[in-house]
This record gives sequence, C-alpha cells and structure tokens, in this order.
Amino acid sequence: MSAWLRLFMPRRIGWLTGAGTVGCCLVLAAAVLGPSLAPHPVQLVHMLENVDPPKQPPSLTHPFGTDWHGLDVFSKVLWGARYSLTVGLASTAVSMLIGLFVGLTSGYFGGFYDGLWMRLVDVVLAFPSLLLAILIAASLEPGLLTIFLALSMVSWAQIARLIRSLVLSLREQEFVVAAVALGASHCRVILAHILPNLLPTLVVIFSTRIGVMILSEASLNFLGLGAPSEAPSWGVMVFFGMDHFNEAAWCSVFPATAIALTVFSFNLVGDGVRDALDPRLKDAA
Amino acid sequence: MIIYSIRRVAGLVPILLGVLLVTFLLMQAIPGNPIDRLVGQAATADERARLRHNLGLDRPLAVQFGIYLSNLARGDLGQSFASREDVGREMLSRLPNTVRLGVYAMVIASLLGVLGGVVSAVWAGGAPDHLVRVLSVFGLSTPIFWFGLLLMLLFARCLEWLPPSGDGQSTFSLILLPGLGFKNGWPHLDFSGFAYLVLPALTLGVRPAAFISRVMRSQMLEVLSSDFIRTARAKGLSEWAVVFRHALANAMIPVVTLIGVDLGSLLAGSVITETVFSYRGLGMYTLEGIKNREYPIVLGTVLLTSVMFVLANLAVDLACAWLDPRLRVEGRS
Repeated sequence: MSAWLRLFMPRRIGWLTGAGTVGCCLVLAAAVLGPSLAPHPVQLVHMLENVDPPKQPPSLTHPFGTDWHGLDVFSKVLWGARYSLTVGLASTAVSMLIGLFVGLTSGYFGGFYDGLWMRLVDVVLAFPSLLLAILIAASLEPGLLTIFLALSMVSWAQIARLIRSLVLSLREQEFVVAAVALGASHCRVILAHILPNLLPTLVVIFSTRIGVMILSEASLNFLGLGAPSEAPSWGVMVFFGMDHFNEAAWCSVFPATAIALTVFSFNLVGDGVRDALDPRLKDAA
Repeated sequence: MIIYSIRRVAGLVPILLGVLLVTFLLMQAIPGNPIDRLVGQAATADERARLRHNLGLDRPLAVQFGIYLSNLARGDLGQSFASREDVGREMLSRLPNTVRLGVYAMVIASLLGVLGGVVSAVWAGGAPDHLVRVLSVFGLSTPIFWFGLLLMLLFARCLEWLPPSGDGQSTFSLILLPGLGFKNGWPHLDFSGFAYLVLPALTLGVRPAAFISRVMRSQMLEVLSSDFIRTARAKGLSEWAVVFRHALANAMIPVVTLIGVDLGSLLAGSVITETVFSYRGLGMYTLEGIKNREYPIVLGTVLLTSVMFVLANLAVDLACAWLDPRLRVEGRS
C-alpha cells in the first residue's frame, strides 16, 4: 500500500489525531474568517469615539474581557490566529525550501560544494537555536517580517542535514544509477528520481515543524524582540499582559491558552502524519 | 579512539570561530548604536567621537574582530561598555546559577520522562498510556513562559509556598548541591536558595520531560517485545523485575544520549525561564547584552553557551563511539 493511501485510511487515524485535526481546522477558520468575525475593533484608531472601560473582566459583551486599552481580548485573539499561522506556515515553508535545496544539492554533488555547505550547517547548529533566533531578531527592525526571517534562518540547517543524509543513500540506489546510465541530466535525476522519494519525509517534517515555529514565534515576541505592542500577536499579548497580570490576568491567560491549544493541535496532527507515513522518524522529530 | 577524539575536538575550533564571526556581524547589524545608549542623544559630536575612540569602535570591523580574538586567546573577554565590569568575571559569577538550573531541570525531566515512558509502554493502549501521551504532547506544546507564569501564579501568589522570583543568592558557591555552600570559607548548610530553584527548574524541565517520555515509550515498546524479555518472563520472573531489571536498562541507552544532547539545549531555554523568574543567570545576561548593544557581553555569553552546547554534543558522540566502534569507522569516511 502506498504511503499516501495509508495516510487517508480511516482506521489509521486515531482519536487524538482526529481531535488535532478539528483543532487545526478551527484555528485555520479563525485565521481566515477571524477579522470579519471579530465583534470589536482591535486597533486604537477606531476607538476614539467608542471607548470601552479598560481591564473589564470577561462578560457577555466581552467574552475574554478587555485589555489595558479597553480593547476586546476575544477579538484580538481571533486576529492573532492569522498572525501566528502566517508566521508559522511561512517560516516552516521557507526553511524547508532552503533546507531542501541545500540538502538535495550537497548530498547529490558532494565534494567541495558539500563540504562548504556542511561547515555552514555546523556553525548554525552550534548555536542553541533559540539563541540564534534572538540574535537575528535583535539585529533587524522589530516586526512580523523579522520574526519570520529569524525563524527561517535558524531552522533550515537541521532540515538540510536530514535531507542530505537521505539523498546520500538514495544516490547509491539502483534506480538512480540506472537513470544516470541512461543519460539523464543532473537536474532530471534530482527532480524526477530523488525528490519524489523524499516527499513523505518532507510532509512529516512540515507537519511536525509548524508547532515548533508557532511556539518560537511566541517566545521571540514574549522576549519583546518581535512585533510592536499594539500588534495582535498572541506572544505580544502575553508579554504586555504580564504587566497587568495581578489585576487583569485574562489579558494574558486567553492568548497564552490559544498558543498552547494551537500548537497542541498541530503537534497531534504532526504525530498522526508521522506515524502513518514514516514510522522510522518516530524518535527524530 | 584517541585519534577519533582528537580529530573531533580539533574540528570544533573552526566551528566556534564561525560562531563568533556570525555573532559579531549580527551584533553590528542591530539598529541603534551603543554610543547613543551610553551618552544619550544630547551629547556633542566631539564627545561621541572621543567615546567611540576610547571603546575602540572607530576601527575597521576586521581589526575590532582581530583584537577581540587576540584578547580572547589571552582569556580576556573584554569589559561592559556601560559599567566597565569585566565580562568574564560577571559571566563566571552567573554561570553556577545557570548550570545549577540546567542540572536540576534535567534531573526533574529525566525522572518524570523515564517514569512516564515506562508507565506508557507497560500499559500500552490503555488509559495510563493515553494520559501520558496527551500530557507529553501538551508539554511540548505549552510555551515555556506560560508554564512558568502559571506555576508562579499558583505556588507563589495563591499558595505562597515558594518565592515568585529571584535567585536567593546568598551562600551558594560553585557547589551544585542545594543547601551546601561556603560562608567565610567554611562549608555551610543553607536551604534558603533551594526554594528559588524549584519553580524555574520545573518550568525548564517540562519540555525535555515530555520529549524523554516519548522516546522512552517507543524504546520500551521495542525492548518489551524482544526475545530476552520473553525468556525472562518464561523463567517466571515477576513483571516488576522484567520491566525494571531487564527492560529498563536496555531501553535507557538512547534515552541517555538524548539527556546529554538536551542538556545543551536547556542552556538556550534558560533565556526565557530566567527572564520569567528574574533569575540571575547567563540567559538573562545575554538578553540584557542584546538589548543594550553590549558587544562584549553578547559575544562572551554566546561563545560560552555555544561551547557548552557543542561540548555536550561532543561528549555524547564520544560516549556513543566508545560504546559502538562502528560509529568511529563511519565518522572517518
């Protein structure tokens, strides 16, 4: 049975993966529809005429209460889904593209080219990843783009190394040797023969990395290195909510719970995908 | 084995030089400059130029980096721009705090993780297994800072059992044991510092605990289905003896590797934990350095963290190579 078919076999999907999938769908819906569903404005500009009292506890009008500006926390959390998912998905995708390119080419061509890339990978991996992300985030202007760049630049190295090790063994397989013997170009061998064999692994990496990325995004924002204070990012909301923790805990409780539940859902789905597609990676992810 | 070790250690030098270079260049790119932080916007151009010259910031980047390296070779990590404190000395005074935090977090993580993994594997498919698995995914999903805040809220604010923040720096010395320190040169028992360690260590330990329990579970499942376990059961051993005397020891090998590797990454996690608990360690020092654009502090702490990180990985690799000679041969090709 092909790996793809196994993924969609209903009996393979446990209730945990199912729950994760529902959670992911909810977050996706919030990210897409959130801004139009949000019952209250989330920017101070709109607030001049219609100011709600700040630090109101959760009520029917404001299910998650209001923050220190009087902004509705529920609306901000809905907006935050878009922010976190954008950063999480984009940085995962970009780091995977870089990692895939480096891993494919250096594993396939080997030699000096491979050596050069792998030394760079060694240097990147010698940093504890969060520390490097903090350094990169600090060296750029704070904002959404900065967080995205910092996360992408940190996490490609691990992916490149994993892909390279797979390519090294694929390169020696008979079907690749046969393709080369038939006169296929390097480009064709890489794209038509090696890449398709990496796809299940790539899907596994993608699904297990998203949660890590969302968590790192929240951490960078929590350290005050990312978005400005008014940005509707969950990490930023927790960071600034801490100043008002004693009198208005809901300002940080709800966004933090949103982070935890989102990452939880993505991790559950990631685990399910990994078990279905590539059980060998069980310990590696 | 000796040649393998020497080769591995020699390979670290260019990597660490690369780490320093990358850090140095990134620090240069940080917006704003240290002179502004020191004298403010009001200072005259003349004062700025003089300060810039005194701090050596007017030289070309390559020269600045060269001077830093040559000082480093002599064990001099430079001084803080603002307070003129010796960075090396400050780091040394904070290092024990961070190491202590990391070690205790790892002890908590290993205990919880191994126990969780064993319970999960022994009752595989049952309620305890599901519970441990959900808890471990949750442990991996909860932001460290959030878990820290919740612990602080519960144990420090509501129950008032433990201090909310700080490091209780009193009689702690380089000794890792809580309670045992030196006072006026004499060994001295004092448990006041221990209370400050509980919440940060628990916070820092949650993620590795979740990770260890997952690996432990899959290892135990594999070992429990092997022939020697069947033999042990056939001999009539109790299930307790089978699990703890026969299976556990064999399942532990990859887990020990993981514990070693994780110890390095805990150092990075300590940045957040130390910030949450205002714990006076290396992580907080790094962040202060980055925010104030103090190049010497950032270079020093990043170098030290990376050295410890790389050494932890190296130690694990060497231990594996020692246990499994095949790895030495593979490493050579």
